[in-house]
Amino acid sequence: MTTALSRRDRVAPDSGASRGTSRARLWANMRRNGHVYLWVSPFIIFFLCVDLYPTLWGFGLSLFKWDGFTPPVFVGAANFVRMMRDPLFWTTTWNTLVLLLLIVPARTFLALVLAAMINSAIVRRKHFFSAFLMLPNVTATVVVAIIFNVLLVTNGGLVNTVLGWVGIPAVSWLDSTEWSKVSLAILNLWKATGYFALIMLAGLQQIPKVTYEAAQLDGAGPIRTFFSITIPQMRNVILFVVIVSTIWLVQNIADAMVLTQGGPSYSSTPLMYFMFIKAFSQFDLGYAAAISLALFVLMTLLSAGTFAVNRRGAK
Amino acid sequence: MKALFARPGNVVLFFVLWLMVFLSLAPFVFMVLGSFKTNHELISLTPSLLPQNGFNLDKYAALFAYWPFLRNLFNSVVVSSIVTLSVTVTSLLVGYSLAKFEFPGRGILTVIIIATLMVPFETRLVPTYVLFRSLGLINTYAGLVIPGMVTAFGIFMVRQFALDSVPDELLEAARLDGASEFRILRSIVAPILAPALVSLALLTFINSWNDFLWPLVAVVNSDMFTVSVALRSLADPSNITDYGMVLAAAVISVIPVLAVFALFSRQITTAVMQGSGRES
Repeated sequence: MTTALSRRDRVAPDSGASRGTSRARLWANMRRNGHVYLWVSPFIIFFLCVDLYPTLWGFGLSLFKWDGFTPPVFVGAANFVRMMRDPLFWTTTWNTLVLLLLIVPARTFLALVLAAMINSAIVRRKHFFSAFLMLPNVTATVVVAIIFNVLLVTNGGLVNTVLGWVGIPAVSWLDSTEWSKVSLAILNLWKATGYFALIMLAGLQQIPKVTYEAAQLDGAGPIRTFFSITIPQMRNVILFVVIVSTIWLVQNIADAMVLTQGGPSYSSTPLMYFMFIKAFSQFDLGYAAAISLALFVLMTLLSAGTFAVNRRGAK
Repeated sequence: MKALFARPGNVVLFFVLWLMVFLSLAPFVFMVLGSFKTNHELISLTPSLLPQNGFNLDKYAALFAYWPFLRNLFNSVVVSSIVTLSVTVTSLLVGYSLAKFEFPGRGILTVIIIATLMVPFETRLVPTYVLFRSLGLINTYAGLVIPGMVTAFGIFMVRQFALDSVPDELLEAARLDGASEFRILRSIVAPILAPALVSLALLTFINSWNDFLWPLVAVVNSDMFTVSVALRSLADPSNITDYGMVLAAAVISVIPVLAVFALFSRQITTAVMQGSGRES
Protein backbone atom coordinates (compact mmCIF):
# COMPACT_ATOMS: atom_id res chain seq x y z
CA MET A 1 0.00 0.00 0.00
CA THR A 2 2.76 2.43 0.98
CA THR A 3 4.85 1.87 -2.12
CA ALA A 4 1.82 2.20 -4.33
CA LEU A 5 1.06 5.44 -2.62
CA SER A 6 4.49 7.01 -2.96
CA ARG A 7 4.45 6.19 -6.64
CA ARG A 8 1.06 7.79 -6.95
CA ASP A 9 2.29 10.87 -5.18
CA ARG A 10 5.02 11.39 -7.71
CA VAL A 11 2.42 11.55 -10.49
CA ALA A 12 0.45 13.90 -8.34
CA PRO A 13 -2.94 15.12 -9.57
CA ASP A 14 -2.72 17.98 -12.06
CA SER A 15 1.05 18.18 -11.80
CA GLY A 16 2.87 18.88 -15.03
CA ALA A 17 3.94 15.25 -15.32
CA SER A 18 0.45 13.93 -15.83
CA ARG A 19 -0.42 16.49 -18.50
CA GLY A 20 0.35 15.49 -22.04
CA THR A 21 -1.68 13.72 -24.64
CA SER A 22 -5.20 12.94 -23.54
CA ARG A 23 -4.53 9.23 -23.73
CA ALA A 24 -1.55 9.54 -21.42
CA ARG A 25 -3.69 11.55 -19.07
CA LEU A 26 -6.42 8.93 -19.11
CA TRP A 27 -3.84 6.26 -18.39
CA ALA A 28 -2.32 8.24 -15.54
CA ASN A 29 -5.77 8.87 -14.20
CA MET A 30 -6.64 5.19 -14.25
CA ARG A 31 -3.39 4.26 -12.55
CA ARG A 32 -3.70 6.92 -9.93
CA ASN A 33 -7.23 5.82 -9.09
CA GLY A 34 -6.69 2.09 -9.49
CA HIS A 35 -8.04 1.38 -6.01
CA VAL A 36 -11.36 2.92 -7.02
CA TYR A 37 -12.03 0.05 -9.40
CA LEU A 38 -11.50 -2.36 -6.53
CA TRP A 39 -13.91 -0.37 -4.37
CA VAL A 40 -16.68 -0.19 -6.94
CA SER A 41 -16.26 -3.82 -7.99
CA PRO A 42 -18.86 -5.19 -5.51
CA PHE A 43 -21.51 -3.11 -7.20
CA ILE A 44 -20.38 -4.04 -10.70
CA ILE A 45 -20.36 -7.77 -9.92
CA PHE A 46 -23.67 -7.52 -8.14
CA PHE A 47 -25.25 -5.50 -10.93
CA LEU A 48 -24.14 -7.93 -13.64
CA CYS A 49 -25.09 -11.14 -11.80
CA VAL A 50 -28.10 -10.25 -9.65
CA ASP A 51 -29.70 -7.35 -11.55
CA LEU A 52 -28.88 -7.41 -15.24
CA TYR A 53 -28.56 -11.13 -15.92
CA PRO A 54 -31.92 -12.13 -14.38
CA THR A 55 -33.64 -9.14 -16.00
CA LEU A 56 -32.48 -10.09 -19.48
CA TRP A 57 -33.09 -13.76 -18.78
CA GLY A 58 -36.64 -12.84 -17.75
CA PHE A 59 -37.19 -11.02 -21.05
CA GLY A 60 -36.16 -14.20 -22.84
CA LEU A 61 -38.32 -16.40 -20.62
CA SER A 62 -41.41 -14.39 -21.61
CA LEU A 63 -41.14 -16.01 -25.07
CA PHE A 64 -41.30 -19.55 -23.67
CA LYS A 65 -43.84 -21.83 -22.11
CA TRP A 66 -42.24 -23.38 -19.04
CA ASP A 67 -43.41 -25.14 -15.89
CA GLY A 68 -39.98 -24.91 -14.27
CA PHE A 69 -39.19 -28.61 -14.59
CA THR A 70 -39.70 -29.98 -18.11
CA PRO A 71 -37.72 -28.37 -20.97
CA PRO A 72 -39.06 -24.93 -21.97
CA VAL A 73 -40.92 -24.63 -25.28
CA PHE A 74 -40.45 -21.56 -27.49
CA VAL A 75 -43.84 -19.97 -28.17
CA GLY A 76 -42.89 -16.53 -29.54
CA ALA A 77 -45.37 -13.81 -28.61
CA ALA A 78 -48.05 -16.30 -27.54
CA ASN A 79 -47.77 -15.32 -23.85
CA PHE A 80 -48.50 -11.70 -24.73
CA VAL A 81 -51.45 -12.64 -26.94
CA ARG A 82 -52.77 -14.81 -24.12
CA MET A 83 -52.36 -11.91 -21.69
CA MET A 84 -54.53 -9.66 -23.85
CA ARG A 85 -57.25 -12.34 -23.96
CA ASP A 86 -57.01 -13.41 -20.32
CA PRO A 87 -60.03 -12.06 -18.37
CA LEU A 88 -58.08 -12.46 -15.12
CA PHE A 89 -55.30 -10.24 -16.49
CA TRP A 90 -57.88 -7.50 -17.04
CA THR A 91 -59.60 -8.14 -13.69
CA THR A 92 -56.33 -7.80 -11.82
CA THR A 93 -55.29 -4.75 -13.86
CA TRP A 94 -58.65 -3.20 -12.96
CA ASN A 95 -58.09 -4.09 -9.28
CA THR A 96 -54.73 -2.32 -9.40
CA LEU A 97 -56.36 0.78 -10.87
CA VAL A 98 -59.15 0.80 -8.28
CA LEU A 99 -56.63 0.44 -5.46
CA LEU A 100 -54.62 3.34 -6.88
CA LEU A 101 -57.74 5.50 -7.03
CA LEU A 102 -58.79 4.53 -3.51
CA ILE A 103 -55.36 5.16 -2.02
CA VAL A 104 -53.30 7.76 -3.88
CA PRO A 105 -55.59 10.82 -3.70
CA ALA A 106 -56.55 10.09 -0.07
CA ARG A 107 -52.92 9.53 0.88
CA THR A 108 -51.65 12.66 -0.84
CA PHE A 109 -54.30 14.79 0.83
CA LEU A 110 -53.84 13.27 4.30
CA ALA A 111 -50.05 13.42 4.08
CA LEU A 112 -50.08 17.09 3.10
CA VAL A 113 -52.59 18.07 5.78
CA LEU A 114 -50.76 16.18 8.55
CA ALA A 115 -47.43 17.64 7.45
CA ALA A 116 -48.84 21.18 7.34
CA MET A 117 -50.26 20.72 10.84
CA ILE A 118 -46.97 19.51 12.28
CA ASN A 119 -45.15 22.30 10.48
CA SER A 120 -47.40 24.98 11.97
CA ALA A 121 -45.67 27.29 14.42
CA ILE A 122 -47.80 26.40 17.42
CA VAL A 123 -46.72 22.73 17.35
CA ARG A 124 -43.59 22.51 19.43
CA ARG A 125 -43.00 18.76 19.71
CA LYS A 126 -42.50 18.23 15.98
CA HIS A 127 -40.25 15.23 16.44
CA PHE A 128 -42.76 13.51 18.71
CA PHE A 129 -45.48 13.66 16.07
CA SER A 130 -43.06 12.76 13.26
CA ALA A 131 -42.07 9.61 15.14
CA PHE A 132 -45.69 8.52 15.35
CA LEU A 133 -46.10 9.21 11.63
CA MET A 134 -43.21 6.85 10.94
CA LEU A 135 -44.16 4.15 13.44
CA PRO A 136 -46.60 2.18 11.24
CA ASN A 137 -44.08 2.29 8.42
CA VAL A 138 -41.33 0.44 10.28
CA THR A 139 -43.69 -2.41 11.12
CA ALA A 140 -43.68 -5.49 8.90
CA THR A 141 -46.62 -5.81 6.52
CA VAL A 142 -47.23 -9.32 7.77
CA VAL A 143 -47.66 -8.06 11.33
CA VAL A 144 -50.02 -5.29 10.24
CA ALA A 145 -52.05 -7.76 8.20
CA ILE A 146 -52.34 -10.17 11.15
CA ILE A 147 -53.65 -7.40 13.40
CA PHE A 148 -56.09 -6.17 10.74
CA ASN A 149 -57.24 -9.73 10.10
CA VAL A 150 -58.34 -10.05 13.73
CA LEU A 151 -59.79 -6.53 13.87
CA LEU A 152 -61.83 -6.95 10.68
CA VAL A 153 -63.51 -10.30 11.36
CA THR A 154 -67.13 -9.89 10.20
CA ASN A 155 -68.94 -11.35 13.21
CA GLY A 156 -67.39 -10.20 16.45
CA GLY A 157 -64.33 -8.37 15.10
CA LEU A 158 -63.58 -5.24 17.10
CA VAL A 159 -64.19 -2.85 14.18
CA ASN A 160 -67.65 -4.21 13.39
CA THR A 161 -68.52 -4.39 17.09
CA VAL A 162 -67.65 -0.73 17.55
CA LEU A 163 -69.55 0.20 14.38
CA GLY A 164 -72.49 -1.74 15.81
CA TRP A 165 -72.52 0.49 18.90
CA VAL A 166 -73.27 3.48 16.69
CA GLY A 167 -75.87 1.54 14.71
CA ILE A 168 -73.89 0.67 11.60
CA PRO A 169 -74.60 -2.91 10.43
CA ALA A 170 -71.71 -5.37 10.20
CA VAL A 171 -69.49 -4.91 7.14
CA SER A 172 -68.05 -7.99 5.45
CA TRP A 173 -64.57 -6.47 5.25
CA LEU A 174 -62.54 -9.42 4.09
CA ASP A 175 -65.02 -11.88 2.62
CA SER A 176 -66.97 -9.79 0.13
CA THR A 177 -65.97 -8.69 -3.33
CA GLU A 178 -67.27 -5.16 -2.62
CA TRP A 179 -65.19 -4.51 0.49
CA SER A 180 -62.01 -6.52 0.04
CA LYS A 181 -60.29 -3.74 -1.93
CA VAL A 182 -61.43 -1.15 0.61
CA SER A 183 -59.86 -3.21 3.40
CA LEU A 184 -56.60 -3.36 1.46
CA ALA A 185 -56.76 0.39 0.94
CA ILE A 186 -57.27 1.00 4.68
CA LEU A 187 -54.31 -1.21 5.54
CA ASN A 188 -52.06 0.54 3.06
CA LEU A 189 -53.19 4.02 4.05
CA TRP A 190 -52.55 3.20 7.70
CA LYS A 191 -49.14 1.76 6.97
CA ALA A 192 -47.55 4.19 4.52
CA THR A 193 -49.28 7.58 4.75
CA GLY A 194 -47.01 8.77 7.56
CA TYR A 195 -43.91 8.14 5.48
CA PHE A 196 -45.19 10.44 2.76
CA ALA A 197 -46.28 12.98 5.35
CA LEU A 198 -42.61 13.15 6.44
CA ILE A 199 -41.58 13.79 2.84
CA MET A 200 -44.19 16.54 2.63
CA LEU A 201 -42.92 17.95 5.93
CA ALA A 202 -39.39 18.12 4.53
CA GLY A 203 -40.79 19.99 1.54
CA LEU A 204 -42.74 22.42 3.71
CA GLN A 205 -39.64 23.26 5.71
CA GLN A 206 -37.98 24.41 2.48
CA ILE A 207 -40.60 27.12 1.93
CA PRO A 208 -39.12 30.39 3.19
CA LYS A 209 -40.83 31.71 6.34
CA VAL A 210 -40.85 35.18 4.81
CA THR A 211 -43.42 34.04 2.26
CA TYR A 212 -45.83 33.17 5.06
CA GLU A 213 -45.09 36.33 7.01
CA ALA A 214 -45.84 38.41 3.95
CA ALA A 215 -49.14 36.60 3.47
CA GLN A 216 -50.02 37.17 7.12
CA LEU A 217 -49.31 40.87 6.82
CA ASP A 218 -51.62 40.94 3.84
CA GLY A 219 -54.29 39.47 6.09
CA ALA A 220 -54.51 35.95 4.67
CA GLY A 221 -55.91 33.35 7.08
CA PRO A 222 -54.52 29.84 7.54
CA ILE A 223 -56.87 28.24 4.99
CA ARG A 224 -56.17 30.90 2.37
CA THR A 225 -52.43 30.61 3.01
CA PHE A 226 -52.63 26.83 2.61
CA PHE A 227 -54.23 27.09 -0.83
CA SER A 228 -52.38 30.11 -2.21
CA ILE A 229 -48.90 29.47 -0.84
CA THR A 230 -48.44 25.94 0.47
CA ILE A 231 -49.96 24.02 -2.42
CA PRO A 232 -48.32 25.97 -5.28
CA GLN A 233 -44.91 25.91 -3.52
CA MET A 234 -45.27 22.19 -2.91
CA ARG A 235 -46.23 21.24 -6.45
CA ASN A 236 -43.12 19.19 -7.16
CA VAL A 237 -43.17 17.42 -3.80
CA ILE A 238 -46.84 16.55 -4.27
CA LEU A 239 -46.12 15.18 -7.74
CA PHE A 240 -43.23 13.17 -6.29
CA VAL A 241 -45.50 11.69 -3.61
CA VAL A 242 -48.16 10.80 -6.17
CA ILE A 243 -45.73 9.03 -8.48
CA VAL A 244 -43.74 7.23 -5.79
CA SER A 245 -46.85 5.98 -4.02
CA THR A 246 -48.16 4.79 -7.37
CA ILE A 247 -44.94 2.86 -7.99
CA TRP A 248 -45.02 1.36 -4.51
CA LEU A 249 -48.61 0.26 -4.93
CA VAL A 250 -48.02 -1.32 -8.33
CA GLN A 251 -45.09 -3.32 -6.98
CA ASN A 252 -46.83 -4.30 -3.73
CA ILE A 253 -47.65 -7.99 -3.43
CA ALA A 254 -47.45 -8.49 0.33
CA ASP A 255 -50.55 -6.53 1.42
CA ALA A 256 -53.00 -8.58 -0.63
CA MET A 257 -51.18 -11.84 -0.04
CA VAL A 258 -51.45 -11.67 3.72
CA LEU A 259 -54.64 -9.68 4.31
CA THR A 260 -57.14 -11.15 1.84
CA GLN A 261 -55.12 -13.73 -0.11
CA GLY A 262 -56.35 -11.79 -3.12
CA GLY A 263 -59.90 -12.99 -2.64
CA PRO A 264 -62.73 -13.53 -2.63
CA SER A 265 -62.58 -14.71 -6.25
CA TYR A 266 -59.66 -12.44 -7.30
CA SER A 267 -61.53 -9.29 -6.19
CA SER A 268 -58.47 -8.03 -4.30
CA THR A 269 -55.69 -9.48 -6.44
CA PRO A 270 -53.55 -6.73 -7.97
CA LEU A 271 -51.65 -7.41 -11.18
CA MET A 272 -48.28 -8.00 -9.47
CA TYR A 273 -49.84 -10.60 -7.18
CA PHE A 274 -51.47 -12.23 -10.21
CA MET A 275 -47.98 -12.57 -11.68
CA PHE A 276 -46.82 -14.15 -8.41
CA ILE A 277 -49.72 -16.64 -8.39
CA LYS A 278 -49.00 -17.62 -12.00
CA ALA A 279 -45.34 -18.22 -11.19
CA PHE A 280 -45.35 -19.78 -7.75
CA SER A 281 -48.78 -21.42 -7.38
CA GLN A 282 -49.46 -22.49 -10.96
CA PHE A 283 -45.86 -22.84 -12.22
CA ASP A 284 -46.67 -20.95 -15.40
CA LEU A 285 -43.25 -19.26 -15.45
CA GLY A 286 -43.20 -18.08 -19.06
CA TYR A 287 -46.55 -16.34 -18.69
CA ALA A 288 -45.48 -14.85 -15.36
CA ALA A 289 -42.34 -13.50 -17.07
CA ALA A 290 -44.50 -11.89 -19.75
CA ILE A 291 -46.64 -10.15 -17.11
CA SER A 292 -43.44 -9.08 -15.32
CA LEU A 293 -42.18 -7.54 -18.55
CA ALA A 294 -45.41 -5.56 -18.96
CA LEU A 295 -45.05 -4.33 -15.38
CA PHE A 296 -41.36 -3.57 -15.96
CA VAL A 297 -42.24 -1.24 -18.85
CA LEU A 298 -44.96 0.44 -16.80
CA MET A 299 -42.69 0.96 -13.78
CA THR A 300 -39.83 2.28 -15.88
CA LEU A 301 -42.12 4.90 -17.39
CA LEU A 302 -43.41 5.88 -13.95
CA SER A 303 -39.89 6.07 -12.53
CA ALA A 304 -38.66 8.13 -15.44
CA GLY A 305 -41.52 10.47 -14.57
CA THR A 306 -40.29 10.76 -10.98
CA PHE A 307 -36.79 11.46 -12.10
CA ALA A 308 -37.97 14.20 -14.47
CA VAL A 309 -39.98 15.76 -11.63
CA ASN A 310 -36.95 15.68 -9.35
CA ARG A 311 -34.70 17.16 -11.97
CA ARG A 312 -37.11 19.98 -12.52
CA GLY A 313 -37.45 20.46 -8.79
CA ALA A 314 -33.69 20.72 -8.38
CA LYS A 315 -33.37 23.57 -10.85
CA MET B 1 -51.86 27.09 27.31
CA LYS B 2 -54.38 29.88 26.93
CA ALA B 3 -52.81 31.03 23.68
CA LEU B 4 -52.88 27.50 22.42
CA PHE B 5 -56.64 27.32 22.55
CA ALA B 6 -57.21 30.94 21.64
CA ARG B 7 -58.39 29.95 18.19
CA PRO B 8 -60.81 27.12 17.41
CA GLY B 9 -58.48 26.14 14.55
CA ASN B 10 -55.77 25.24 17.03
CA VAL B 11 -58.11 22.92 18.90
CA VAL B 12 -58.93 21.11 15.66
CA LEU B 13 -55.24 20.92 14.79
CA PHE B 14 -54.25 19.28 18.05
CA PHE B 15 -57.28 17.01 17.97
CA VAL B 16 -56.26 15.71 14.53
CA LEU B 17 -52.62 15.24 15.53
CA TRP B 18 -53.50 13.35 18.70
CA LEU B 19 -56.01 11.27 16.75
CA MET B 20 -53.15 10.38 14.40
CA VAL B 21 -51.01 9.35 17.40
CA PHE B 22 -53.88 7.25 18.73
CA LEU B 23 -54.53 5.56 15.38
CA SER B 24 -50.89 4.72 14.82
CA LEU B 25 -50.53 3.31 18.32
CA ALA B 26 -53.89 1.53 18.81
CA PRO B 27 -53.20 -1.55 16.65
CA PHE B 28 -50.01 -2.21 18.64
CA VAL B 29 -51.90 -2.00 21.92
CA PHE B 30 -54.55 -4.32 20.49
CA MET B 31 -51.82 -6.74 19.41
CA VAL B 32 -50.06 -6.81 22.78
CA LEU B 33 -53.27 -7.17 24.81
CA GLY B 34 -54.61 -9.69 22.28
CA SER B 35 -51.60 -11.95 22.75
CA PHE B 36 -52.94 -12.70 26.25
CA LYS B 37 -56.52 -13.35 25.12
CA THR B 38 -58.50 -16.38 23.98
CA ASN B 39 -60.35 -16.51 20.66
CA HIS B 40 -63.61 -15.88 22.53
CA GLU B 41 -62.29 -12.66 23.98
CA LEU B 42 -60.77 -11.49 20.67
CA ILE B 43 -63.80 -12.23 18.49
CA SER B 44 -66.59 -11.01 20.69
CA LEU B 45 -69.65 -8.80 20.65
CA THR B 46 -68.78 -7.61 24.16
CA PRO B 47 -65.05 -6.90 23.93
CA SER B 48 -63.10 -6.10 27.07
CA LEU B 49 -59.90 -4.10 27.11
CA LEU B 50 -57.82 -6.28 29.42
CA PRO B 51 -57.40 -10.06 29.14
CA GLN B 52 -59.71 -11.95 31.49
CA ASN B 53 -57.10 -14.43 32.67
CA GLY B 54 -54.54 -11.73 33.38
CA PHE B 55 -51.17 -11.51 31.72
CA ASN B 56 -50.10 -15.13 31.71
CA LEU B 57 -47.71 -16.33 29.03
CA ASP B 58 -49.71 -19.37 27.86
CA LYS B 59 -49.92 -18.17 24.27
CA TYR B 60 -46.19 -17.57 24.14
CA ALA B 61 -45.48 -21.03 25.54
CA ALA B 62 -47.91 -22.55 23.05
CA LEU B 63 -46.15 -20.77 20.19
CA PHE B 64 -42.72 -22.14 21.02
CA ALA B 65 -44.15 -25.62 21.56
CA TYR B 66 -45.95 -25.54 18.21
CA TRP B 67 -43.44 -23.86 15.91
CA PRO B 68 -39.61 -23.52 15.60
CA PHE B 69 -39.97 -19.80 16.21
CA LEU B 70 -36.66 -19.41 18.05
CA ARG B 71 -34.90 -20.82 15.03
CA ASN B 72 -36.83 -18.38 12.80
CA LEU B 73 -35.73 -15.51 15.02
CA PHE B 74 -32.15 -16.69 14.78
CA ASN B 75 -32.44 -16.86 10.97
CA SER B 76 -33.78 -13.30 10.83
CA VAL B 77 -30.96 -12.05 13.05
CA VAL B 78 -28.35 -13.74 10.85
CA VAL B 79 -29.88 -12.53 7.58
CA SER B 80 -30.52 -8.94 8.71
CA SER B 81 -27.06 -8.61 10.27
CA ILE B 82 -25.22 -9.83 7.20
CA VAL B 83 -27.32 -7.72 4.87
CA THR B 84 -26.92 -4.60 7.03
CA LEU B 85 -23.15 -5.00 7.35
CA SER B 86 -22.75 -5.67 3.65
CA VAL B 87 -24.95 -2.79 2.52
CA THR B 88 -23.20 -0.34 4.84
CA VAL B 89 -19.69 -1.31 3.72
CA THR B 90 -20.41 -1.56 0.00
CA SER B 91 -22.41 1.68 0.00
CA LEU B 92 -19.51 3.46 1.69
CA LEU B 93 -16.96 2.12 -0.81
CA VAL B 94 -19.01 2.69 -3.94
CA GLY B 95 -20.79 5.86 -2.86
CA TYR B 96 -17.55 7.58 -1.80
CA SER B 97 -15.76 6.47 -4.96
CA LEU B 98 -18.47 7.91 -7.15
CA ALA B 99 -18.57 11.17 -5.23
CA LYS B 100 -14.89 11.96 -4.89
CA PHE B 101 -12.88 10.33 -7.68
CA GLU B 102 -12.62 11.09 -11.37
CA PHE B 103 -12.20 7.80 -13.14
CA PRO B 104 -13.14 6.49 -16.58
CA GLY B 105 -16.53 4.77 -16.27
CA ARG B 106 -17.82 6.93 -13.44
CA GLY B 107 -20.57 8.50 -15.52
CA ILE B 108 -21.93 5.21 -16.80
CA LEU B 109 -21.83 3.69 -13.30
CA THR B 110 -23.85 6.57 -11.89
CA VAL B 111 -26.44 6.15 -14.63
CA ILE B 112 -26.63 2.41 -13.96
CA ILE B 113 -27.17 3.02 -10.25
CA ILE B 114 -30.00 5.44 -10.88
CA ALA B 115 -31.54 3.01 -13.38
CA THR B 116 -31.29 0.15 -10.86
CA LEU B 117 -32.99 2.36 -8.31
CA MET B 118 -35.95 2.69 -10.64
CA VAL B 119 -36.63 -0.94 -11.44
CA PRO B 120 -38.25 -2.77 -8.53
CA PHE B 121 -37.06 -6.22 -7.55
CA GLU B 122 -40.56 -7.67 -8.03
CA THR B 123 -40.27 -7.46 -11.81
CA ARG B 124 -37.31 -9.85 -11.77
CA LEU B 125 -38.59 -12.08 -8.99
CA VAL B 126 -39.27 -15.03 -11.30
CA PRO B 127 -35.91 -15.13 -13.13
CA THR B 128 -34.03 -14.47 -9.88
CA TYR B 129 -35.80 -17.42 -8.30
CA VAL B 130 -34.97 -19.64 -11.29
CA LEU B 131 -31.33 -18.52 -11.19
CA PHE B 132 -30.96 -19.19 -7.46
CA ARG B 133 -32.67 -22.55 -7.80
CA SER B 134 -30.31 -23.60 -10.57
CA LEU B 135 -27.35 -22.61 -8.36
CA GLY B 136 -28.71 -24.72 -5.50
CA LEU B 137 -29.18 -21.66 -3.26
CA ILE B 138 -32.80 -22.28 -2.29
CA ASN B 139 -33.11 -23.02 1.44
CA THR B 140 -29.66 -21.59 2.23
CA TYR B 141 -28.51 -18.49 4.08
CA ALA B 142 -26.54 -17.46 0.99
CA GLY B 143 -29.72 -17.58 -1.04
CA LEU B 144 -31.54 -15.45 1.53
CA VAL B 145 -28.93 -12.70 1.83
CA ILE B 146 -27.38 -12.31 -1.63
CA PRO B 147 -30.15 -10.30 -3.34
CA GLY B 148 -30.03 -7.73 -0.51
CA MET B 149 -26.27 -7.35 -0.10
CA VAL B 150 -25.72 -4.34 -2.36
CA THR B 151 -28.36 -1.65 -2.84
CA ALA B 152 -28.47 1.21 -5.28
CA PHE B 153 -30.40 3.14 -2.63
CA GLY B 154 -27.55 2.90 -0.12
CA ILE B 155 -24.90 3.83 -2.68
CA PHE B 156 -26.89 6.81 -3.85
CA MET B 157 -27.49 7.96 -0.28
CA VAL B 158 -23.78 7.83 0.63
CA ARG B 159 -22.81 9.46 -2.66
CA GLN B 160 -25.09 12.44 -2.03
CA PHE B 161 -23.88 12.79 1.53
CA ALA B 162 -20.21 12.55 0.48
CA LEU B 163 -20.70 15.17 -2.26
CA ASP B 164 -22.06 17.60 0.32
CA SER B 165 -19.94 16.98 3.36
CA VAL B 166 -16.48 15.63 2.50
CA PRO B 167 -14.21 18.59 1.63
CA ASP B 168 -11.72 17.95 -1.20
CA GLU B 169 -9.08 20.04 0.58
CA LEU B 170 -9.06 17.64 3.50
CA LEU B 171 -8.47 14.68 1.21
CA GLU B 172 -5.69 16.52 -0.65
CA ALA B 173 -4.01 17.46 2.61
CA ALA B 174 -4.07 13.85 3.78
CA ARG B 175 -2.60 12.72 0.46
CA LEU B 176 0.23 15.24 0.76
CA ASP B 177 0.90 13.84 4.22
CA GLY B 178 1.40 10.47 2.57
CA ALA B 179 -1.70 8.72 3.83
CA SER B 180 -2.84 5.77 1.74
CA GLU B 181 -6.26 5.94 0.09
CA PHE B 182 -7.55 3.19 2.35
CA ARG B 183 -6.22 5.01 5.40
CA ILE B 184 -7.97 8.20 4.26
CA LEU B 185 -11.21 6.28 3.81
CA ARG B 186 -10.98 4.69 7.23
CA SER B 187 -9.70 7.59 9.34
CA ILE B 188 -11.12 10.65 7.61
CA VAL B 189 -14.00 9.82 5.31
CA ALA B 190 -15.78 7.15 7.36
CA PRO B 191 -16.03 9.35 10.48
CA ILE B 192 -17.40 12.26 8.44
CA LEU B 193 -19.95 9.99 6.79
CA ALA B 194 -20.81 8.21 10.06
CA PRO B 195 -24.24 9.84 10.57
CA ALA B 196 -25.34 8.85 7.06
CA LEU B 197 -23.92 5.35 7.51
CA VAL B 198 -25.76 4.91 10.82
CA SER B 199 -29.05 6.01 9.23
CA LEU B 200 -28.45 3.71 6.29
CA ALA B 201 -27.67 0.78 8.59
CA LEU B 202 -30.83 1.42 10.62
CA LEU B 203 -33.08 1.63 7.56
CA THR B 204 -31.44 -1.44 6.03
CA PHE B 205 -31.84 -3.48 9.20
CA ILE B 206 -35.51 -2.59 9.50
CA ASN B 207 -36.21 -3.33 5.82
CA SER B 208 -34.33 -6.57 5.90
CA TRP B 209 -36.04 -7.74 9.09
CA ASN B 210 -39.45 -6.95 7.59
CA ASP B 211 -38.65 -8.28 4.13
CA PHE B 212 -41.12 -10.88 3.13
CA LEU B 213 -41.39 -11.59 -0.57
CA TRP B 214 -37.91 -12.93 -1.31
CA PRO B 215 -37.61 -15.08 1.84
CA LEU B 216 -41.01 -16.51 0.97
CA VAL B 217 -39.79 -17.90 -2.35
CA ALA B 218 -36.17 -18.51 -1.31
CA VAL B 219 -36.87 -20.99 1.49
CA VAL B 220 -39.02 -24.09 1.70
CA ASN B 221 -38.38 -25.66 5.10
CA SER B 222 -39.93 -24.09 8.17
CA ASP B 223 -36.64 -24.18 10.07
CA MET B 224 -35.06 -21.96 7.38
CA PHE B 225 -37.97 -19.47 7.50
CA THR B 226 -37.30 -15.92 8.57
CA VAL B 227 -39.70 -14.42 11.09
CA SER B 228 -41.93 -12.76 8.45
CA VAL B 229 -42.36 -15.97 6.49
CA ALA B 230 -43.08 -17.91 9.68
CA LEU B 231 -45.70 -15.34 10.65
CA ARG B 232 -47.38 -15.69 7.30
CA SER B 233 -47.57 -19.46 7.70
CA LEU B 234 -48.90 -19.13 11.24
CA ALA B 235 -51.55 -16.67 10.08
CA ASP B 236 -52.61 -18.72 7.06
CA PRO B 237 -56.42 -18.69 7.26
CA SER B 238 -56.61 -22.37 6.34
CA ASN B 239 -54.82 -23.46 9.51
CA ILE B 240 -55.23 -20.57 11.95
CA THR B 241 -56.75 -21.91 15.14
CA ASP B 242 -55.47 -19.66 17.88
CA TYR B 243 -55.48 -15.91 17.20
CA GLY B 244 -53.81 -15.16 20.52
CA MET B 245 -50.85 -17.35 19.65
CA VAL B 246 -50.40 -15.67 16.26
CA LEU B 247 -50.55 -12.26 17.94
CA ALA B 248 -47.93 -13.46 20.44
CA ALA B 249 -45.66 -14.35 17.51
CA ALA B 250 -46.34 -10.92 16.00
CA VAL B 251 -45.43 -9.22 19.28
CA ILE B 252 -42.09 -11.04 19.48
CA SER B 253 -41.34 -10.31 15.83
CA VAL B 254 -41.72 -6.53 16.17
CA ILE B 255 -39.60 -6.19 19.32
CA PRO B 256 -36.21 -5.80 17.55
CA VAL B 257 -37.54 -3.26 15.05
CA LEU B 258 -39.46 -1.26 17.64
CA ALA B 259 -36.43 -1.28 19.94
CA VAL B 260 -34.28 0.13 17.14
CA PHE B 261 -36.96 2.66 16.32
CA ALA B 262 -37.42 3.74 19.94
CA LEU B 263 -33.68 4.36 20.29
CA PHE B 264 -33.08 6.00 16.92
CA SER B 265 -36.41 7.47 15.81
CA ARG B 266 -34.81 10.87 15.31
CA GLN B 267 -32.13 9.52 12.96
CA ILE B 268 -34.68 7.46 11.07
CA THR B 269 -37.22 10.23 10.52
CA THR B 270 -34.42 12.64 9.59
CA ALA B 271 -33.03 10.15 7.07
CA VAL B 272 -36.43 9.78 5.45
CA MET B 273 -36.84 13.54 5.28
CA GLN B 274 -33.36 14.16 3.87
CA GLY B 275 -33.57 11.35 1.35
CA SER B 276 -36.93 12.56 0.16
CA GLY B 277 -36.07 15.29 -2.26
CA ARG B 278 -33.25 13.46 -3.94
CA GLU B 279 -33.58 9.73 -3.87
CA SER B 280 -34.61 8.04 -7.12
